[in-house]
Parts: sequence; C-alpha cells; structure tokens
Amino acid sequence: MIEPDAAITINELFFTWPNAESPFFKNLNLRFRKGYTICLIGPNGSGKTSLMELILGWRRADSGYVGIGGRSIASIPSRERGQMMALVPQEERISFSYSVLEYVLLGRAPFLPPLASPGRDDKNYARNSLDRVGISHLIRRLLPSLSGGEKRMVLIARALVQNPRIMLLDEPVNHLDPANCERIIEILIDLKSSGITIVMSSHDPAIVLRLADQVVLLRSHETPVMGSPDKLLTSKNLSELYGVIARVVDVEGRKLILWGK
Amino acid sequence: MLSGEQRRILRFIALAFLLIIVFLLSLLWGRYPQPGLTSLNTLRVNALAQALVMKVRLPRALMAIMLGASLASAGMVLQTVLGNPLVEPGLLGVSQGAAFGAALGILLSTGSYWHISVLASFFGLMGLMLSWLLARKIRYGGSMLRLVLSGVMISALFSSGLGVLKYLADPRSQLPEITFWLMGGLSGSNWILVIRTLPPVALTLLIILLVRWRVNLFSLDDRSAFALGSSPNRERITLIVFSVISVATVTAAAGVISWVGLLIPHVARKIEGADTSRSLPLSMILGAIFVLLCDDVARYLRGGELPLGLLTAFCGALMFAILMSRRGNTYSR
Repeated sequence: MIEPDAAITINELFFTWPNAESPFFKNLNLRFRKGYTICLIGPNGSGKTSLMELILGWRRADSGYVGIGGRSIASIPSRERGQMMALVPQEERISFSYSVLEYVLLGRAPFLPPLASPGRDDKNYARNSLDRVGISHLIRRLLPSLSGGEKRMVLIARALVQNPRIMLLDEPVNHLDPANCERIIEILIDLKSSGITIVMSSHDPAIVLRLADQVVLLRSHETPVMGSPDKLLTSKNLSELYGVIARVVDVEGRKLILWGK
Repeated sequence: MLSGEQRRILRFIALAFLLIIVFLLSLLWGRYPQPGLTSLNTLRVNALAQALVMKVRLPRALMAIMLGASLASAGMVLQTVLGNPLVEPGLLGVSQGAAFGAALGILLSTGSYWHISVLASFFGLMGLMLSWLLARKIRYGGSMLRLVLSGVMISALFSSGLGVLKYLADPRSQLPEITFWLMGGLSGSNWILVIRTLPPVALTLLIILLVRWRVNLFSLDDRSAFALGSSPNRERITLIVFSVISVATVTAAAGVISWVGLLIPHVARKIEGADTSRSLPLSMILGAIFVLLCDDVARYLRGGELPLGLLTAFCGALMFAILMSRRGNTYSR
C-alpha cells in the first residue's frame, strides 16, 4: 500500500452523503504523485470539493483508505496534519476586521503550542509569504476592505505560512478578472516549481491545460477517470462531461476550449 | 518616535493603571460620612468609616471587577468563536436559565444565598446544555447558526417558565425580590460572597487569558479552522463552557447584568483591532472599569440603591448606539 513517491493515496473508498441512499463515491482508487499538480474537473455537484475534503480528513469515508505520505489521514494528529497540508477555500466567512498580517499569522497555528502567541519568527514567515504572493503592500490593511482577488491571495499566503507539502485549492481562479487570474496562475506555477503537491479544482479547462500534470474527470455517481491533460481534455470528453458541445482548438501553440455550437 | 508595538504596551499599562485608580477611588466614594469622596483624614480617625471601607466597599468593588471582567471576556470569546459580533452571554440560554433558577430559589426558600446561587448556576449551565443538545437536532444551517437559533428557543422557554414563577410568587415578599434580582445589583456583596465567587472566576479567566491567541482560530468556519490543525468542535465547546462557568458564577452573585458582554468587546476591538491576543485582555480591563463606574453611580445617585443592571443597560445601549453609528465603521457581516 505504501508507495514512496505517492503523496496522496486513495484505496477502495466508499463515501455516502448523510441521508443519501446510495454511495456518492463507489470504490474510488486514486494515486497522486509527489510534486505533481493534479486538477479535478467536472460540473457543479460532481464531487470536486468533497474529494478534497476527504483528502483533508474533514469528511470521513464510509470505508476505504485515504493516505498522506503513506499514513492513514485518520491516524495523523491534527497539529501534524496542519503542518503537512493546507487548504485554500474559494472564500471564507470573515466576521471581524482582522488585518492582513493578523489573518496570515493564523497559518502558524499548527506550529505553536496551544498557549503561545506568534512571535518574531512567525511574523517573518508571514512577511515572506506575503512577499512571495506579491501583496506585501497590503500587510496593514483590514480584510473587509480588500477586493475579491486580494482576499484570494491572502488565503494563499496564509496556506503558504503553514509550509505545507500538499496544498488543496478549491476553484482558485473562480470569479476573478483576467489580471488577477493570471497572477494566481503565476503564483501556482511558482509553487509547482518548489515541489509542493497541488490538488486544485477548476471549471476552466484552459487553466487546467496550463497547470496540470494529471487531470481527474469527475462525474457524479460515476467512477472518476485520471490521466494526462492532453489525453483526457478532448472535445469528446468535455462535451460528455458538461453536456454541451465543446471543441478544443490550437491557437498560437496554446489550447483553447470553445463552448456551444 | 514610538513603534506601534511600544505604543500598544503603553496604552495597555495606562488602562491597567486607570483600573487601579478607579478601584481605589471607589473605596473612598459613597454617602458616608458625607456624600462624595471620603477624605483620607476622616478615614484615619473615623472607625466606622474604616469598617465601611473594609467590610462593604472593598468586597463590593472586588465583586464589580470580577463581574465586569467575566461578562466582557465571555462576550468577547462568544462573539469570536460563534463568528457573530452581536452575541452576548445572554444568548445561548445562560442568562435566562440562571434567572429562572434564581426565581425558583426565591420561591422555594426564604431567599437564602445558597439556594439562589446554586440553582442559578445550575440552570444557567443547563440552559447552555439544552441549547447545545437542541442544536445537534436542528437540520438547518451551519453549526454556529444552529447553536444561536437553539439558544434563542431555550431562552424563550426559560423566560416563559420565569413568567409562571412570577405569577405564582407572593406579590408582597417574593415578587419584589425576584424583580430586583432580575435587574441585578451588587448591594449584597460581602467577603463571603467574594470568597465563593473568586476561585471559579479567577480560574476560568486565567485559562481564557492563556489561550487568548488561539481563540482567533475559531472565528473561522469549521473547515478552515480544521485545516489549520485544530479540532474546531471540541476546542470551541471548551471555550464556550469556560466562558459560561464564569458568567453563571457572577450572575448567581449579582443577578442579570446586561449589555456589558455586548458593548465592551466592541469597544476593545475598536481600540486594539480584532486580534483576541490583544483585544481579550483589554476587554477584561475595560469591563471591570465600566462596571465599577456604573456601580459607583448606582450606589450614589439616590439615598437607596439603583439596580446596577438598569444602569449598565442604559449606558451600554446608549454607548453602543453611538459606537455603531459613528463613521468609519469597518464591521463586515
């Protein structure tokens, strides 16, 4: 079961929603390699977020095995889990006016003893990761005053402060304008080159084509298919997946997807 | 030039100093021998004044500090971990449960302290327990919304129960006592009460102070807090239980004191920002100052005694209205 180069292993996993009659994932088997970028694609409700939550350990499977670096996720203590794996949600409820620095510092929680507050080192971590994401100028701003794109980058910075080996990103470029979209893609390419295993979901096959080493096609109540983006992101597959006509075309060496007739 | 951090420390020391000054002045403040401040000279020669300070004013001021610090810190913790800036300890069924328990105590006995305080603490905690159990049964909304919703329901149940008790109470002896208790006050303070209240309050406040930074984590939704390496359900419930223990203890001693737990955390966040590692200790200090000052007014304004709960509600609501309607409000909700 243990493979040295597998970052995430899913074996014979069954998962049923509460109050549902039949399992949502049936006998799911997936293996994500270390340092790879894996994109989950599929229509709304196809289980992209649920799959990430199963990997995170937030949802528990009915049966089967989810392994992180060869250990069952259920057996990893929560602090250690927080040091290995970070989540970048699509958005987060913000109830109070935290400053960007205070918010990013929350990412140090898995490294601090329960009674400690973040110190100088932790603040340096936070500054570095804000720098890496390119938003050091926002450090003193209050969260409610930020734009959607800036908030997304703060969430990525907070995940980086966790110094994770695995990063889970839920629709990282959804609802962003082209400029912010490009910046996030650049950040992700930078993360990729540093050897972090990235699992992300996206609706946008064009972005998937630029980032992914492997693609998982998800359709609700069907067995997911995993493979290389070139093989899987074909006009036929995409048309079937989303139920609209899709054409993959080559423009100046880049693949684009045209939707509809 | 001072750095931001140094300015913060100075401000904190200044406010702690202010608390000490208000505390010392409260000992000299009153209506004996004449209305106003008792001079140190009088205190030296007048044995009755000395006894008054030691046996009445000192325990009363200590009670006021414990009351204010408990309510304000519980308010801050509950607002933060429930992700809702409008929560106060009165929600979640604690205050109404305690009020019901106290009224029951007054009705059953001749109003002995033990009956009232034990029953108030018991029903206050029971209010929380019932809210929590009911929240698990509700099939609607996230965990925090469920807890607040069931808190509202349990509070309503207890307050209707309280209505029945008031109806049954003897209108000449028991009803006025219930009513005064519901408005809250520190007139019953003495050393025995201080000694009974101090251990649970000091212990819970100390624990909350020690974990003050971690409280921040639980302002996030459950999944995000989980992804940051915590166990949100367990840790959140632990924080709520500690807050409620301190509130139930001071409520048993002083009756229902409203608005402190709502207003003071907002003021603290205005001054120090949202980070609970700084706003939580500040909240405790400000709560203590606010209740000390209100109590000074309550025991001075008239020959008799104005209910403290009325004063905190009046000042609290007024200040809250001013705070929320000021420009530059950056609350997002």
